[in-house]
Amino acid sequence: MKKADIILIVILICVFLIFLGLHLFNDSKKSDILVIQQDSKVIYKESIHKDNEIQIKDRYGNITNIVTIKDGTAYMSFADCANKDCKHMGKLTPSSKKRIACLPNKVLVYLISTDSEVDGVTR
Amino acid sequence: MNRTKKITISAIFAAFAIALSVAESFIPFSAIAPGVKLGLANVVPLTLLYVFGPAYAISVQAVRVSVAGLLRGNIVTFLFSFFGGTASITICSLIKRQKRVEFSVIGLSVIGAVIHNAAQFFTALVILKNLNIFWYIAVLTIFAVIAGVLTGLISKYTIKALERYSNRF
Repeated sequence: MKKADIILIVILICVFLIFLGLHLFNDSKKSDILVIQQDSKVIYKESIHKDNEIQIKDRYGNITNIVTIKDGTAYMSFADCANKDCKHMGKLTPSSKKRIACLPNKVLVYLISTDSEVDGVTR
Repeated sequence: MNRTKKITISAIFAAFAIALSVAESFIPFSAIAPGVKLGLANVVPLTLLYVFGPAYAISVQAVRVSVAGLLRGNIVTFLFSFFGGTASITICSLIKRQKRVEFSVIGLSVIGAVIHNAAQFFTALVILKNLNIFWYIAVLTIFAVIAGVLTGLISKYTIKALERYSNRF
């Protein structure tokens, strides 16, 4: 290993740890509006406290994902993709800062706070 | 070594890289954090970059990501692997060529892993059109540095071993 390697590794780790820290400790207000986005369009926007089961279908009508909302948590209960990353992402709760993404089906599930006017989607 | 031999050996390497990609997909690294991978198959193009030069490394990587991407997953995941894989080895070749800052195999492997991730991540941003997930690149990059050091170490010893045998070809 050369000196340049070590400098590079240290810089990369430090910069991204700071970035991650800023994200985790910044704005901790509760967000409880569940948003489901498919193909960059918002297809569902309701309170997370309303139990529901949303089937996400592709344009041929096949069900690609099922999002289950129960007792104030939301999780991906079904996915037709190969790696099932989205099912491993666990549950969304109002205080967690997680998002569930299913990249093969271009589905994204996340929470926004009640008082925010912008929904965070860029067009 | 003549060109035909180089091309033949590159083809064997490409097949080996595809086998590594498929083998690795059975290990559930995503349990650590979604999207995290070791990237064992990236050892192959990195090794070729040192042994045969950039043209062979980039071609083998392009073949590898195309075949491995189509073997599992759909067109979206194929785009991720393709842009990530080719961008990473191309930029590695360029960095190896410049002489101002010299990196060893491990440094180059870390750069490759981080760029691989970043390119895939930006492809995801373009597809999802949502900046809400931008912070996640921090998690991916930290794991990419670790994975890059490990694959860099493997490449280092592979290159050493190949150089020892290369006079027999």
